[in-house]
Formats: sequence, C-alpha cells, structure tokens
Amino acid sequence: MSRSLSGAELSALFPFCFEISRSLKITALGPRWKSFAPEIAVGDDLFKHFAIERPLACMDAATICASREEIFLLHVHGKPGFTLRGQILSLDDGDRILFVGGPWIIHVDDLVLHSLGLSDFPPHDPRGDLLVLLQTRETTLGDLKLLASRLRETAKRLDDRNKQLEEQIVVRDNLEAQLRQSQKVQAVGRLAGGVAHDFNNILMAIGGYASLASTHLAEDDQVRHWVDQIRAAADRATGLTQQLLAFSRQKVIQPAAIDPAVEVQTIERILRPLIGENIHFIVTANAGLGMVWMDPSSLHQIMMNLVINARDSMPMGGDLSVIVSEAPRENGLEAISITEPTQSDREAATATSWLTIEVIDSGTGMDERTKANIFDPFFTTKDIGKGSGLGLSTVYGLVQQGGGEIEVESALGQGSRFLVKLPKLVAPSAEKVVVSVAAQSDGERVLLVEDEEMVRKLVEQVLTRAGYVVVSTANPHEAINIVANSPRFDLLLSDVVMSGMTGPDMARQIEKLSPDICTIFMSGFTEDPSLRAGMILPTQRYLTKPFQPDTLIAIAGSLLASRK
Amino acid sequence: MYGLVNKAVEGLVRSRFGDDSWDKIRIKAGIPDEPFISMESYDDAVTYDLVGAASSVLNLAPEIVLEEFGKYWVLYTGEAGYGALMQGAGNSLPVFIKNLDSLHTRVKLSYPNLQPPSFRVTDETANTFTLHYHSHRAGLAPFVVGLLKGLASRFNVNVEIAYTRVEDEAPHDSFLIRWEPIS
Repeated sequence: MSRSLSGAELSALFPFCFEISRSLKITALGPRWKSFAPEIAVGDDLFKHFAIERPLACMDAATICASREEIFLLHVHGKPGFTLRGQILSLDDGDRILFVGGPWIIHVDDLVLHSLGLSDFPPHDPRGDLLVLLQTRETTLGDLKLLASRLRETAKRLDDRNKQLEEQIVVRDNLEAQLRQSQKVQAVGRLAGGVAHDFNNILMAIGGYASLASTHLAEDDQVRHWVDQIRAAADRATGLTQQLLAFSRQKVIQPAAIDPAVEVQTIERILRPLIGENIHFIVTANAGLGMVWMDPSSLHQIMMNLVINARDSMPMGGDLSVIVSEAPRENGLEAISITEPTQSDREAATATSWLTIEVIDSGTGMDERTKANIFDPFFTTKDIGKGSGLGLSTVYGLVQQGGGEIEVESALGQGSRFLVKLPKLVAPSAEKVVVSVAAQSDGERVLLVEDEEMVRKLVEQVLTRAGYVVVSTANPHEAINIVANSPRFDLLLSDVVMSGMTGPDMARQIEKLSPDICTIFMSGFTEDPSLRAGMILPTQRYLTKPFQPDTLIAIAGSLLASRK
Repeated sequence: MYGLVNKAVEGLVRSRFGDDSWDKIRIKAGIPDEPFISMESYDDAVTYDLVGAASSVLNLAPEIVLEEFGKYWVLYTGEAGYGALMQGAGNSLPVFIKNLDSLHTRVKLSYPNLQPPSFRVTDETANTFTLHYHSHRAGLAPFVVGLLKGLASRFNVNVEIAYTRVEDEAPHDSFLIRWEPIS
C-alpha cells in the first residue's frame, strides 16, 4: 500500500512529532510543542532540548537512522519525569529524520503534572486508554484495601467473640462441674441424713436404757461400770453421726451463748493436722473475752472454710494466723437480732462491741474482680472438682445469721485478711449455757408422738419416772384426735420425721386445738427448713437425738416453768 | 451499573446526611452491609432501589435525589481518582460535554460491561448549545440536570437549562443550555 500523509494529517496523528536534519538541527515541530515547550524552536540543536535514552550512545544522524526500527525514548530538558516514546523514520535517504510518538505516562496524576489531556492522545493511540486502565487498577486497589481492612476488622471481631465464647464455655464448664459437685454433696447429705435418723433412734434407745439401768445399780457394782461403758460407746457413736450431719450441712442450727475463743481452740485441734508442715500456723485465742450467740457448729464451719482457703492459697507454704479479739462497735448500742429461744435471751443480746476473729495468710491474695465475687454462690478460683464455690457464701450466710459482719482485705501477692465480727453479748449468763436441771413434775400431762417404738417406750418411761402423765402414740393423726377429744395437755413431745405427717405440721394443728400447749421436737435429722434454721416459737424447743434422759427432763421442766 | 455508581450514591448520603441515614437507606433498599466494588457490575435495580429508599428516608422527591446525585457525581469521580482524566477531557463546559462520549468509550475499554449514555451537542453558539441525551435507562433526566449544574460549578459558569423530552424515532432527553462565565 502506498500512501503519503500530509503534514496536517501527521500532526493530527502525532501532535508531539518533530523533524531533524542530518546535522541534528530541528527542522519542524508538531503542533503540541508550541504550548507544551515554547522554548523549543526550529533551528535549535536536537541535544539542546532532548536526551535520547538508548543502550548505546546515539549522538549522530547515522547511528540514529540505524536504530530506526527500534523504540526511542526521549527526555525533554526542563521537563523532569516527562518521556516521549516513539520511533525514528528516516526520510529522503536520511537527509530528514522524523520522530513519531507521544508522551509515555504510567500514572494519571502525571497528566496534571505535565499539563496534558486526553486530547494529547489521539484516538489511534492506546496510551490514553491505558491511562483509564491504570486508573481503574488504582480504584480496584483502593477497593481491595478497603475490603482487606473490613476483613481484618471482621476477623478481629470474630476472634474477640471466639475468645468471649471460649471464656463463657470455661465458665459454664466450671459451673456445671460445681453443680455436679454440689449435687454430689447434696446426695451424700441426704444419705447421711437418712442414716443418721435411724442411727440416732437406735443410739437413743441404747444410751437411754443404759442411763436408766445405771441409775438402778449401785456405784460399785461391776455391771454399772459395764453399763456406763455402753453409754460411753453410744456417746461416741452419737459424735460420729453429728460429724456426718455437720459435713453434709444437714444439722439443725441450735444457737447458744458461746465463747468464740474456746470454739476456735476446739477447731484448732481439728484444723492443725490439715494445715501442713510448710505453713506456720499461729492461733491467738484467749478465752474470757466474752460470748456470742451462735451455733458452735456454725462457728466451726466458718473457721474450717476460712482456714482451709488460706491454706490453699499458700501451696508453697507461708504464715497463717487466727486471732480472736474484741473491737468496739462503730454504731454504738444496738439491739442485735438473734435466733431467740426466750425473751431474756433477746434482752441479753444487746451488744456494744464485736468479738472478732481474724484469719490472716501470706498467700497469693486476690485481685479486685475476685475479691468482689468471693461471697457469691458457686464462685470459686479453685480447679474444677476441688471447690464447690459454696464455702465463702456459706460463711457469709452464717455470719449474717449470727448478726455479724465479715470484711476482707486482699491484694495480689500480698495475702488476705478475713475479719469476722460477731456481736458480743452484754450479759451472758451461765444458765443460758448450761441447761438447768428441773425438779420432778407436778403431774403435767404429756402427749408423746414417736413412731419408733423403742424410743417411744424409753421416753415414756423417762417421763413417767419424772412424774409426768404420759399419753403416747405412734401416729400423728391419732395424736390430733386425742387432743381434739381431750384438749388439756401441757406438753407435746414429738418426733419430726414420721410417716403420714411431719411433727411440725401435726404440732400446728394441735396448737390450734390447744393454744397453751408447749412443744418439744426431737429428731436426729430433719429436712424441715424452719427447724434447721432454728426458727422455732418461744413455746417450742428442739432436742437433737440422741439425748440423755436428764436433758429431756431439764428442757421439759424449763419450758413448762417459763410458761407459768 | 458498576459499583462505582453505587459507591457515589453511598458517598453522597454519608457526606450530606450522615452514616445513620445511609444505614437506614441501605437497609430499606435491602442492601447488605458491605462495600461496593467499583469494578463489579451490579443490577441497575440496586441503584434505583437506593434512590427510591433515599427518597423515602430523606423525605425528598426522587427527582431531587437524582439531581443531587448528578451534582455529586462530578465531585465524586474527581475525588475517586478520575479527576485527571476529567481534566484532560476539556477545559470548558461545551468542550467537556462534547468529549463525554469519547471519555465513556475509553472507559468502556476498562469497564467492558459499561452501557454508557450518549451526549451529543448541536446548535452550538458562543453561549448556548443543545445537549441530546440518549440512554437506555429511563428517568435519568434529573440526574443530567444535576450533572450539568455540577459541571457548571466545576468550570465556574452559570447555566440555565431548559428540558424537553423528544419522542421521535430515537426518543431522548434534550436540554437547551445557556451558559456564561461567572463574573
């Protein structure tokens, strides 16, 4: 194909074209040069304005013409970063050399930098399209960066959520383990309670009849010695059942005026072997500081939990101190609410000061979060299966029940100090601690309800021998009928756990028929919540089986005397 | 339409009405909470749904939303990296509009699914010309009005626009434009 292009056509196709002579002088310029680089003029030396970028130096016309089929890159002096890309055409046997090409731009921002526009890229020139493509790439990269950023945020949120879920799973697993542990303790407790109930009835008969037999024998009689040994063995067995009930927390709360120092000394003997030789265990508990109103077993349980926790916080050993002392009560005189058997007890329970028990260890201590939760039920820092999470919540409940307060100071690595404050009784009287032995009965009428025959017969004999008139039955419904037909009874003495109806339910019905009647419940084990909490009326008493005949007579006499 | 257009709608709402408004509009239009991809081709319905939801949430007539979007599109494409290309497309309102078809043709090389409209200029005088807008999409005349106003602002000129719908063998929108530099 043969075709000649006019100068105008050439300029339209290549606005940046220019022509040079064999002597390398510029002889013609494309139309774009005038506005782009007005300093470049026809007649100027090529190398005054341009630098040719070639692997081999290209400084004369012959060399330039020899490279005419290759890519030429030209730099324009005074236009840093601006490059022309094109090729050389040799015209008229090399007398004229024509450069055809255009700007080489690889970033759209360079368009503005070099004052170029799309019109500088004629339609045939794909470099204009390349610029759009490059911008599209930039836009896509921007989108990708945004997406990557969103993905990272999402991944982080997922990661955080996963961690939260893992923590929740651990907490749930711990709670489930604690629940299982708690259910095991409860199951053991029920078993222990059931066994204790039957055992206590048997022990009641053994000990009671042994007591009765003993009173019929001369002091120097060898048989009396043997009978006393039977009583002693029954007492030991009674202690075992009490321990079993205490362990399973099935024991009925029986508050009394106790010296906390004496109780601490008692529990120290049990605790010391559990502490371990690598812990320096010091107990400072001097009896005589005063009395508090609390079930001794509750105080034992408080001490057991606090001291064992302290021990567990010192696996490598340390110092553990228990100090019983007295401290003034900040809010002065205040009536202390206690579980009350009598009005006089309530009057006595007015405290101006605390008796305090401090348990101080040099163990691992607690952070603020742990400290804030330690009294919550099921909260534990111990390994799964090693703690029920109920220990300190039980302590808290027992202290509250005793009208006291508990404080804790602790910091990580600095040990812990638990301070139990119990209201000191103002006028503890000996008669509240020791049950006085009453005289013989004046013939008061007693309704005895006991479904265990051997216990019923024993109690009947004991009461009769003490001068009481006793009507007995094994059936609570029959007992109600007896009172309905003959309401004048002074005392109802009843078992708690019986088939058909519980002792407290029966007593409520009988008290409606005979409002002045006093009641003594006797049981080796009860699930009745009010009895277990010590919540009984002033006209009621609770006797833990097995008990000695003298104790029964003393309690009955005391109760009937208080009624008069 | 390409994601670039939907990103511009999002940018308009976020910049003028806040992120909360965008969330409401996006939810009303049934759009998931994820970034639009500029180079991804979306169904035209996505854009129309966004305009409809914006009209409802912002309590503005759809024509107003489209006109605002037209104005914003000029700004957005400049900010989204196409400023240099737009600058290269002309330094006056009529020149720029005359180069739009060429610009779109180049852009189509990179966006192969692009179905650009056509902008044809006739009856040009020193301060007037007629723009013929052909598009296979309906109802976008208000968008072109906004686009012309946005370009007028870019080239620092005042414009008066008279719109006519031409229903001949090639139905299209016609805009008689009078423009003059802001003194």
